[in-house]
Amino acid sequence: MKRRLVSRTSLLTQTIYDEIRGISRSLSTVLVLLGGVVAYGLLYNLLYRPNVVNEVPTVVVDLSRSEASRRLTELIDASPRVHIVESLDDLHSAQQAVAQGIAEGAILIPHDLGERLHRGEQALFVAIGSTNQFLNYEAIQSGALGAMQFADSQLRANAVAHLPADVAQKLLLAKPIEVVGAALYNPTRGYADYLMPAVLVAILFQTMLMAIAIRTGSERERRGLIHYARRGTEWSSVAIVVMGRGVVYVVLYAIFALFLLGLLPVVFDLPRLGNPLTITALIVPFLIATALLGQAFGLLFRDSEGALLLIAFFSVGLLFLSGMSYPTTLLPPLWRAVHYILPAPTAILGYIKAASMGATSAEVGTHIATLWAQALGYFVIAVIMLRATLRRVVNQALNGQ
Amino acid sequence: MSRGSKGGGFGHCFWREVSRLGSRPLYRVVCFGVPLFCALFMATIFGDGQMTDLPIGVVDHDFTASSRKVVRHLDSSPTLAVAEHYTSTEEALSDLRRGRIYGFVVIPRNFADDAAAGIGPKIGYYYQYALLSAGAQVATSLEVILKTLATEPVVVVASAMALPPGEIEALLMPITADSEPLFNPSLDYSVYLSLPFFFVMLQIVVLLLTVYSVGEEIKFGTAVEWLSSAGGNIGKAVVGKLLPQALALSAMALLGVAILSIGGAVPIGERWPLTVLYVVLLVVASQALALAIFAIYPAMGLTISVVSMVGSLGATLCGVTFPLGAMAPFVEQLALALPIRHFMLLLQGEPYAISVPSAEWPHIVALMAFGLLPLPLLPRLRRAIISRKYEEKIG
Repeated sequence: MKRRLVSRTSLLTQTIYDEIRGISRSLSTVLVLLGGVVAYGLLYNLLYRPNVVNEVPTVVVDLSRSEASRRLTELIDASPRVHIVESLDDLHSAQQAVAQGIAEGAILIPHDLGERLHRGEQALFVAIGSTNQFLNYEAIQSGALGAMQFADSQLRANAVAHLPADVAQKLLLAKPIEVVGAALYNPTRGYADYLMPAVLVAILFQTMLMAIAIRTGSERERRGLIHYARRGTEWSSVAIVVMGRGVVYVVLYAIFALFLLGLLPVVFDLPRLGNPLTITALIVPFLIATALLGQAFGLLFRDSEGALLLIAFFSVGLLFLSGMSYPTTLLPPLWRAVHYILPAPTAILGYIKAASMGATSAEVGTHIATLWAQALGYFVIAVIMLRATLRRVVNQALNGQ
Repeated sequence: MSRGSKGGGFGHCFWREVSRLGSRPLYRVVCFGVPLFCALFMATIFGDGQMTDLPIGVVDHDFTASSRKVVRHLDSSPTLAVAEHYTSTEEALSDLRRGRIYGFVVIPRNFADDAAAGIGPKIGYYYQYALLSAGAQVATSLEVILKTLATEPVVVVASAMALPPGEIEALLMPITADSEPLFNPSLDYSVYLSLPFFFVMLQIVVLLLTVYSVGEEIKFGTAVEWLSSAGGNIGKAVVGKLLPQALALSAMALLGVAILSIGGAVPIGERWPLTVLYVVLLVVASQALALAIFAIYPAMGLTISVVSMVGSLGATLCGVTFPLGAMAPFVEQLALALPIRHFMLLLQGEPYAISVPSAEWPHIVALMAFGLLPLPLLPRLRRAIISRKYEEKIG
């Protein structure tokens, strides 16, 4: 009994030692690990650093040429979201300006704006934006709405003046309901604040899958698996090998996670409302599940690069599956199922809730539980697959292939 | 045939590659399965493209007919669904953090009484932008509904005094703004994202497949045979190898466009012949870029990792999400080093048909110029093949 325990412990330490040596010998694994994590972490943060789209170049087509239209143009230009670059005479020139990239949109003020205001009729203006660049469109729209609300608040008293005195009196006494709204999390609508937490988790997932697949594949190439097969193909030995290799990646990625989710949010001022313990409770099962998924997935390939063809393209897909941009409840059932099966989408959404909204461990409890369930599931799958592969390797060796 | 320049030729090399693509499961999956998967994924991931019935909560401290009317108003919006009722703000906040609701409305005690007494009652609404797109939808809907509701006491008085509806409107909102979202009037999420991101994914597949298929020959020592199948001519060998892939991937890309347009996500319109041209240009330009990077350092393990990182940048540098003009000054120029950026500018100019053709030409020329990129590096690639320096010793 005691000897068996010793041999298992030594199998575990031997596996860990072999895996570390394997990683340090392979240049491409090291590149994926370090290059991917450090370069991506820094690069994406730098790219999205501006965070908010402001001062979007816009042209105004002022057909009214009135005092009121000039005032309205000034109000829109005063918005931080919009910068009026030019005043044009017709819509066609505005289209030209947009096509040439001088402006991203246009404000159209109809010819009767001044007159309608003067007569006490409702006046209209139009904010036109190309949706090719959604954030530019959104900025123009928001600048126009802000100007409208400010103008209305000033013009309302004026509008009442058109009415008979007793009517005006009664109307001024009728109090509207006071409506107050506030954004509680990410109040500046920062794009980096929204996107980066998700990207950082996706980087951990993608690079870990790649690194493990490269390692597993190169073992197949070099017939390194026979090495493990010699140590036994019974369930317990195989399980120890899977665990031992998993430990190496989880520990290594715990360091990377500390860099990506601990250091970078401080350096780049990303949302940090999360309790470190909650984030740890979420990230640990995520790393374990990913390390086990990676081992199972890597066994599908006979060389070290094949797996990359099926991993790299899907980074964006992971973000969509997470429900960060489009609510999980509205995803079609198949994709909602995938959201719960893959570690990254679950962890991304949980991490956003924890880091950006300060959710407690209890509030992201379903995410934590899902990740542990995934870890267990992928452990079983990885052990079954590795055992089958090892037995095949042994049979081939016995048949002298 | 085995000794190089005789017996081989372009056709031989071409059919050799066709048989390779057909015989290995990995190639079949990458050439056909993955593009099809990407198209189906992007066509279905956003459901019908409209965010409807986003769950919100209500903290009703008043419990009167008036407060229930507010709730009914909110629920009648197609964007919102009142999913939860809370007795305290803390509960609502907790559910907001859990992601069960995207926002909530607080109706204070005495809401109905204050309204009756003409005191000017209050309503608070709260939302989040941590999940930006859903949050923005909820915030806008809440604002529109509640601000309309807010004017009701005034409307009641004005109607009682028989003011015509037009005058009441002018009274409440002397100036009103209309927005005109060009090219995507329903602000459909899938129109905005599906087609661009299908090509972002496809571009990564093209880049990696190119490096892998050439790199694999060198790594496993079949490159000499590949070269001799083309009669020892590196130009013929490269074209003979990459042409079948280009045909397969272009065809799959166009199938993808067709799948996405069935879902209504693609306003290609009458300029579809240009779409075909642009898709082929994107595929070939991406192959050329990948080949050039590979030829610089023809060891697949390292180069494929580099290329996968370059390819992933396409999602950001294609400029569909965050405007490149708003990023650091050099980024917009840097993005032109990726074929996907040129393609995206062409694609956006194209279905939406505002871009004048003169603005499209530089990008067409640029995509063609990517094709020239590997030319000076071909001798280097040939040397790498003949020297067998980058082969892996399999033990």
